[in-house]
Amino acid sequence: MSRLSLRNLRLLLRSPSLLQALVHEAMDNMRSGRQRTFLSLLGIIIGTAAVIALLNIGENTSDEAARQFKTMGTDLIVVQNSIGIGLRHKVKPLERQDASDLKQKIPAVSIATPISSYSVKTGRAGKTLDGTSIGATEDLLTVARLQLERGRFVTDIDGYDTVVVVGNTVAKALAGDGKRLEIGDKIRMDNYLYTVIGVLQSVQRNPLLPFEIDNALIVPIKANRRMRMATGSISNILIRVAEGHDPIQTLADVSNHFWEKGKSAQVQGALQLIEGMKKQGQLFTWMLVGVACISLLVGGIGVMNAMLAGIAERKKEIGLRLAIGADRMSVMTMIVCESALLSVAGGMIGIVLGLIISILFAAFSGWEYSLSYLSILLGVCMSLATGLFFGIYPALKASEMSPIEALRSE
Amino acid sequence: MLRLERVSKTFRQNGKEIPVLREISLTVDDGEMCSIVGASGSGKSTLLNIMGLLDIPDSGSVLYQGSAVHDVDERAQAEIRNRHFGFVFQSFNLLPRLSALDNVGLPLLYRGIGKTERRRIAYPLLERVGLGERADHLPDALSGGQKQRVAIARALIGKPRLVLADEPTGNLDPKSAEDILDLLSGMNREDGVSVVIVTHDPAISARCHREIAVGQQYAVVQRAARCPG
Repeated sequence: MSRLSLRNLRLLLRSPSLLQALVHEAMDNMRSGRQRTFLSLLGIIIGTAAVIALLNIGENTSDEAARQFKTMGTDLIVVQNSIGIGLRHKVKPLERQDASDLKQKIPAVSIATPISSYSVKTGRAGKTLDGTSIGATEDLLTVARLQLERGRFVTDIDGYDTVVVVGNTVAKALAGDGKRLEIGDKIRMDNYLYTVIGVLQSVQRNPLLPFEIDNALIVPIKANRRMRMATGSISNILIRVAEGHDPIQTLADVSNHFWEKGKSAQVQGALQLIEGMKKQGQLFTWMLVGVACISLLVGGIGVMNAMLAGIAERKKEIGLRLAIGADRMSVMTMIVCESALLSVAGGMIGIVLGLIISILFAAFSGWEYSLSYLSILLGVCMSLATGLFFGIYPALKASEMSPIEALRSE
Repeated sequence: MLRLERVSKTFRQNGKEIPVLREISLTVDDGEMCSIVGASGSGKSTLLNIMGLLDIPDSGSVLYQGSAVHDVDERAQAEIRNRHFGFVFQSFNLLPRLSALDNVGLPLLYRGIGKTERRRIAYPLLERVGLGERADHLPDALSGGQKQRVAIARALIGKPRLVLADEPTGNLDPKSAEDILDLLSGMNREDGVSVVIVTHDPAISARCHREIAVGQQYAVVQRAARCPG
């Protein structure tokens, strides 16, 4: 190695024509030894494919998560009644009154609407379905940004009436054969008959909402209470933050409000949830780095193995090159270039494979596919770095050959 | 032009030391064609390798155009081999993947000359050795004599001052051997290239100006060849 001083490398780099000629030579060499090298590339191919696929799927997942919030907005806060979770002995449940209190006490709260939810068995014309009965006031329409497909929403005037606004999935499931669920149709919820007054448009699931809108049966909050013969307790309060107020600060204010009142309530905001998802995403990325490192190692060893076998086979050739005037740095450069080209070729195949996998994954999940350009850059760089690194040892071995011995070998 | 001064070389095998060359001094002059003869194992190839800077003597020095080159750095030696020497081997040593033309051009790669330019320079040389029509043949498609002619063209492409040939006709039939020798002496005569041929064939040696005999006493006897030219 002493002979392969840095000075020699500098000299080589200063003669771009020699470097260029050596890279061309390495390309030609690669082209002629195609079949044998393919197997050795499997490690790099699989490794790169895994990284590309995972990175793309990861990015599509977070896109998907972001999309879920887009319909609902990031200024949504949900208070959850957490009876039994509190450490204090006397836990007071959430009540309807708490919702109106919030609006008065905290100016940043533009709307606060209570809901009570139970799971119910619903049925009509021999069809049954497990749904969620949501007791709500008319504010829910605004807070949850619901859109009616037809009919109307529940209002305060409905009082204890057994009327229901059904989610899209429920409407489809309870529709008669070949007919849709009409306004005025009666559906059974547990032991009560309710009259359908509205059908909601289908909405993407929002992870913050305590229920799935498509699967909901929204009834007047009083009616829900009557059905359950429950106390005045409610299960959630949905809050919209007033324009110009910081959702994070409002979240803290709401939390404090309940703490001071001695109520055990879990408060979650969309922004907070997004932050959590981001953190999860970062963890995911670190795991990918781990995967990348392992595949790098395995693939690199495969390439090194192929290169070592290659130079053992080409001993005579290397001897000849040395005899006709290749210096050791030229031989080294050629072998390292071959190794790098081999790895990049493997990387390219891996990238294509990884993209196909991630596109298929997105297609099967019903997600929108978006390409992560960073993953492609990473794939190329990673395979190039692997090739360069794992080519050094074979290149050193080749360049340290004695030309006479190499020429004499068969 | 090339001078060896008190060059010694000893091989070590299984702990035993086998002296091959001992204190050998000789000179190859400009434009000279000389042979190195001797029995198998007498060290004639080793001597040629030392002359061609492929091997390093244990002691003594190699002077090329008056300056010591046996101990300069590897890169400088490679450059001398590339620009001043040409090599011809018994087993041809053509790269099987390259066409005859590309094999001829290969030494120029290490001068940083691109492939197209290499081919352009190599073609006349291939024509000169009578293989212009086989430029795109792979070595496998060539006969032994043709392969050696490609090798000679390769040795000449760098416009060397000295061609070192190690048993160049050892693997060839008498007719091809004769052709190769004609080529070597032709380029010696026409281009003034010095030629050193290692051989055990007295007929070849007879065609050289001078014969260097490497003997069992590890010494060298130099004498004028019987019929020069």
